[in-house]
Amino acid sequence: MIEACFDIQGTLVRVVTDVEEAVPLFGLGRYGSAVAPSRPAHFRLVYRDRRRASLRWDGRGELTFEGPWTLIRPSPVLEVLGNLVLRRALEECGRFVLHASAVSRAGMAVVLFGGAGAGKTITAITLCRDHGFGLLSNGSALLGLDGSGHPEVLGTLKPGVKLRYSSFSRSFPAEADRLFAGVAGSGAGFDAKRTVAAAVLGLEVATAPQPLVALYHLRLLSGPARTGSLDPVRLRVGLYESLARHVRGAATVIAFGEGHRRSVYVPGLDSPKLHDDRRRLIEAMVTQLEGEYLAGSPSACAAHIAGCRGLQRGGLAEGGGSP
Amino acid sequence: MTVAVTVRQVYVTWGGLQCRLSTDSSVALDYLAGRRRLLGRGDLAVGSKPFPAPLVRRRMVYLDRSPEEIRVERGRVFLASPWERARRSDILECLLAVFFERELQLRGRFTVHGSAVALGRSAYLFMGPKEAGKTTMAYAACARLGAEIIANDAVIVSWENGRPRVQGCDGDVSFTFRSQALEEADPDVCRRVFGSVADGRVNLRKRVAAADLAISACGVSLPLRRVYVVGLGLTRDLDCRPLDPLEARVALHENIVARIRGASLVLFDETDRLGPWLPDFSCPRSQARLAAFLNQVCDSGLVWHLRGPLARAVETVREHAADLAAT
Repeated sequence: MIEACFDIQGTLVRVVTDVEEAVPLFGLGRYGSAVAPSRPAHFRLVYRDRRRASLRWDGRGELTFEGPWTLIRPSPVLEVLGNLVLRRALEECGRFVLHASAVSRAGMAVVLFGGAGAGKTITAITLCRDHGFGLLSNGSALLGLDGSGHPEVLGTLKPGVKLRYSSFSRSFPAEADRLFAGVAGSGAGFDAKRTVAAAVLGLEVATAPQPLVALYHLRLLSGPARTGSLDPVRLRVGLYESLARHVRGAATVIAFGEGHRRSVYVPGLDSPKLHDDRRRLIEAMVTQLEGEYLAGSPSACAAHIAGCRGLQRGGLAEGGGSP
Repeated sequence: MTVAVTVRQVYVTWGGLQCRLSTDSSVALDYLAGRRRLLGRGDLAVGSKPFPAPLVRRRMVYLDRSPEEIRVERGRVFLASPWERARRSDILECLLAVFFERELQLRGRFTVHGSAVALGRSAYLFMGPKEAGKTTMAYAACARLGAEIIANDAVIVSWENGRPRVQGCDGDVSFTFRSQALEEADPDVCRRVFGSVADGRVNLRKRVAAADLAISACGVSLPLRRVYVVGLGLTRDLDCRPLDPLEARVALHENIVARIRGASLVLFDETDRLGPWLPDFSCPRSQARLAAFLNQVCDSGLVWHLRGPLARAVETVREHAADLAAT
């Protein structure tokens, strides 16, 4: 068996396999670096080349997947499993991945969330370019609580900026044509994406951790910025769904073989303890942060965020505000 | 001194299935007996004698006591919670809903989070992430193409005789509109529903009965002709094409499975904070049923992207419906 250990910002995931070529397919190298195993890993992921496909979880820290290598190799199965166990291991370490962008200025961070196409990336780029912010995360912010129970941005799971041609080209047409040479006009539309380093876009990268002061639910519309209040119950559900969907197994599909027709059951890796940690983080975010629903053009939204009270005050609300 | 606890057993029926519920709480039984629907869906009935419906083997047990505890076991789903707390958090109803949903999945009936309309004796389903435009598309298909609404939010799909079918609506259907989406789809109706939105506020929501919009509901089961993964306004041009099989599988899997194992199972306590942890209701058997269903749906090329401006998306649905009706 071959073993490899990956250090993802202090969280250790060890992969064990009888197929050497399988190691890079877990995709963990892009989140962290391969290290010599010096201490016990937070999670062990085992893959064995066997005729029969099966998956077992020991209920704690080891997932064992077996399946025929010839069918597994061309499928994204190992990457999907790598991503799943990484999120569980991060949660064990008090780091929660929110599908959101995060930027900061003068030692205070703001989180931008919303669905696909909501404008998280474009607004983050605009804040960095026009309002002196630095980029903490584009699309997968690592969040946690500091020693005094205040929410903070701990960094990013995926470095760089993932650009969607259809969104990026609306705000930055000339740059889009340059960065997406060959894609423009090919009809790939919404799905044409490219990940570039922050420096390629001329963005400052901020160092984590940074205390969170505000969160915005974005929705790109044309025209001036319009705001609405965030319903606390819906906000809790929205945050919970984003934080928990992977670890609960809802977002994990194991599909391989011809036409991706074969699959195995992946148990949820959630636990009551992780649920409580997630709840604590969400309560802190809902009760301590300034928050708004914000719709408008990227430049209007960015200008509105740059003027938010938390950033102006240069500190946290006394006793916390409520969104 | 020991207090004798009487545990009563009743039969609960919903979605064409029934289960046995054992409880020591007569208040809970009275409460359930007064409910007609389960969390606003289907027909709920509680009786001391069995109903003429297939009996689910697994049992529900509810005990009115502390500490709060939820377990999914082989033969039963167990809930302990003080009744006042259970009533306020709807936890008993939530558990029953998930319990029945899992049984429906085991029997090949899957609830899709989305909206469905009936157009020319065929059903069309709109799904997609939050704020993608599911309700807007369904409303626009009804208002502009004369479609009937089948369901908004929860659409029950099954595979029968080699074809997918959508179950007809099970009661009053309503649309939950978001102000800015409706503003784009139909400014007149938006003004009627939300009043003046000129004060610049966004993200208002309102539930409106289909009947109040003069939209009729379709109560019969219809063949499902296409599933659209919508994304209104995400592209300037219309982007409409079949999803590749893996993409379609991923999108449908998460949508359907979330009902019995996902994060949407999260509950609230009496102060509207997130409630206790709920176990995963899925199992290898439910996964196998779902995988077989996804193979059927994905092989049939039923799942398409539909992104772009609303007017062009609606026109596309009209064209597709005309083409499909001709075949």
